[in-house]
Amino acid sequence: MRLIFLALHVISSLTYADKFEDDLGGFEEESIAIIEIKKIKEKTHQLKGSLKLSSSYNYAHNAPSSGNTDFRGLSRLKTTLDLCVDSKINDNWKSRFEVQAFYDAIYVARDTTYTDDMIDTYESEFEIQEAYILGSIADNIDLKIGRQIVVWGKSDNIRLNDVINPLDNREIGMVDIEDLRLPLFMSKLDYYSGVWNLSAMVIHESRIQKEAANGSDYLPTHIFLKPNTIFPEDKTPATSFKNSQYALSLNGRFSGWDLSFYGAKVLDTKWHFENSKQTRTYSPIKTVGIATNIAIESLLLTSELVYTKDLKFNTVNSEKSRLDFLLGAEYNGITDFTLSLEVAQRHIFDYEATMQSAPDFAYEDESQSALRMSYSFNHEKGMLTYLNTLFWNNNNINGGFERLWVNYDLNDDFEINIGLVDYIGGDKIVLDALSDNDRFFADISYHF
Amino acid sequence: MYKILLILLTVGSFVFAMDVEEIVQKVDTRDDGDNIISDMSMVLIDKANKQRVRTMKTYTKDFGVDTYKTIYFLAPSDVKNTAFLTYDYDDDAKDDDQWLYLPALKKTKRIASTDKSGSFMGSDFSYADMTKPDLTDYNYKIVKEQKVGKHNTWIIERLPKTQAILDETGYKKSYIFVRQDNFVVIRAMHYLDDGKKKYMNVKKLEKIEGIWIATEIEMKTTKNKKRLHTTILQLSDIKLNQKLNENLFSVRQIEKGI
Repeated sequence: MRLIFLALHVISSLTYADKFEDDLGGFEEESIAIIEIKKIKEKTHQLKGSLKLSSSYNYAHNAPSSGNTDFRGLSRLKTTLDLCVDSKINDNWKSRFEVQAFYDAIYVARDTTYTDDMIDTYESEFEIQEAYILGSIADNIDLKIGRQIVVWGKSDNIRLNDVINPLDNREIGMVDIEDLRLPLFMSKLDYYSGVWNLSAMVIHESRIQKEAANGSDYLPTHIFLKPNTIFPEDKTPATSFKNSQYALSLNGRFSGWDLSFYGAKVLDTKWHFENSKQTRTYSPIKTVGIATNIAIESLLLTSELVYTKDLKFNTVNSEKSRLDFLLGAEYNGITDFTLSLEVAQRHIFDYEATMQSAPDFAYEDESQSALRMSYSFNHEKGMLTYLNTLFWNNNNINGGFERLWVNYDLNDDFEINIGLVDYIGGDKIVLDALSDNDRFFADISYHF
Repeated sequence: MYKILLILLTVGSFVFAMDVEEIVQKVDTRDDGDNIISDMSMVLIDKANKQRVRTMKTYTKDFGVDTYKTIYFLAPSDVKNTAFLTYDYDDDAKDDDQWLYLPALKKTKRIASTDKSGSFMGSDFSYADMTKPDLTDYNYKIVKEQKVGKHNTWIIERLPKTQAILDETGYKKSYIFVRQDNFVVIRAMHYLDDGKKKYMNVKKLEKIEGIWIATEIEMKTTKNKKRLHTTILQLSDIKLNQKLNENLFSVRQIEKGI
């Protein structure tokens, strides 16, 4: 018996040894010609940029009534050029100057009628994006002056405390998050002490959101406004010393968690009528907020709270206040996979029922959720992402959208992006009006 | 006769078990430098030999038993100015702190992940490969001695003690090749759950300011003896014992860039 045991032990050891020796064969050299790696030299001025060709195809619109724009079919043939120069002035100071221009050929290529507002909004644009100088004026004080973007809050998909920069809302659901915020000219001073950072900003530029063109497929006013309703021009408040905006934040970063406090007086993102409804404009609001996130193993928990006052509406005379609260969780515990869910609740104080009617469409309580799933594949050449954003109240869906897209690096310079957006209708008429706006999209970008 | 064989096997294993503790201890405590600045490039090669290049600049500093590291991505263009900051704590009970600055979003994001089995920047190296393993997480056994090139090595089997460690790294078993003259790990063979194997091979080892540093490392992923993907990691312009200010390892610095 002992002999059998010993024999089995020896045979198993030999087999194991054979397998091990066999596996060692994997170290054998394989001749692969490695491409030459260019040494990246530090330069005073560095130019980077991208050229993007993008298209989209609307597949859910009905045929238009006579005289209206036909939104069916190919809806975008856009070329976008982005150029950015980063300069190192000296060891302490640096600067950035970035411009972006686009031209959408669809507005001459298609045989349909577009309104002047649509042409003005969507056909072409040239803009200065970020343009600033940044440096340290003391060991623990940084100064940044110029057009810049400041992101507040801890959540990734729903904006609560993130009130500093206005948004590009021209194509809701289609704008990439990196292109969503519009830079503002401001002076920003940062003081650092240990784990704390105090940040103070004076915003010199009055800039408002970029809204969808009246009558476009992103703002089909003919669906939710009475016929012949005049939709007045919007007016940006003058950029002046008197109209300066202010913001202050205190940020702490600790082992395993972060905490931020915010306070701001900035322009509202929502317009209101003035001058006997001849124009639309934007007024300052005041906000105070707090945000935190806590990392527990592979889970990142996020929470935000913000109180906003001086909100103006069109359907009531008195200004209102609102309390927004958010809870979120992001899970990174599965290799190459990220799952996040954020839910926000908004409550308007001293609500009046008439605020629900046009053009405010405001509810006393409204919830918003954002579910995002990302899967990285093929050694991070590709990323598949699903995003679902919904608004609801009293168990009724008010509207939203879901988006599925894949981004794939063809090589170090070229990437493609293909996906679809499905707009979800609901009880909120302005969101429901977008429900047949579903589209496929495809982009190719060259980075240099 | 078989009794003698059994006794020899048992005694042999016992002798190896004693030695292996000393070896891995020496591997762990070997001076690997401090206050380091280096340029890092990775060539990612797929099975059709199509290649992509990632270029980075890294700063590393030991704070007592903890290690702080900042990685700035220089190329390709679409990830330029992205920066990754890690506080790697020696204390097992404390999760590492990690922040990623995303220039496209103008935002620094805290990363919560104890899963270190994921690919580091799309390479064959995992996040676990980029940090020093904790000695106490594994059982070790010397398998044999073997010459690699001109150098004698011990081949040591390394097994995770718990399922949690296996899940964290993705490696159910590893063989590490330790050079006998300087205690540098110059090769490793890792077994993954999905039948894949990873082969780490130090192609260039240099003595810089008296410290042995692997300046070219190949990591190859295979399945059924077929190569799936390879990464060549190269370090250059390595500077040791630099005066690295604590502020370099801060969110403030990764947002400002280099």
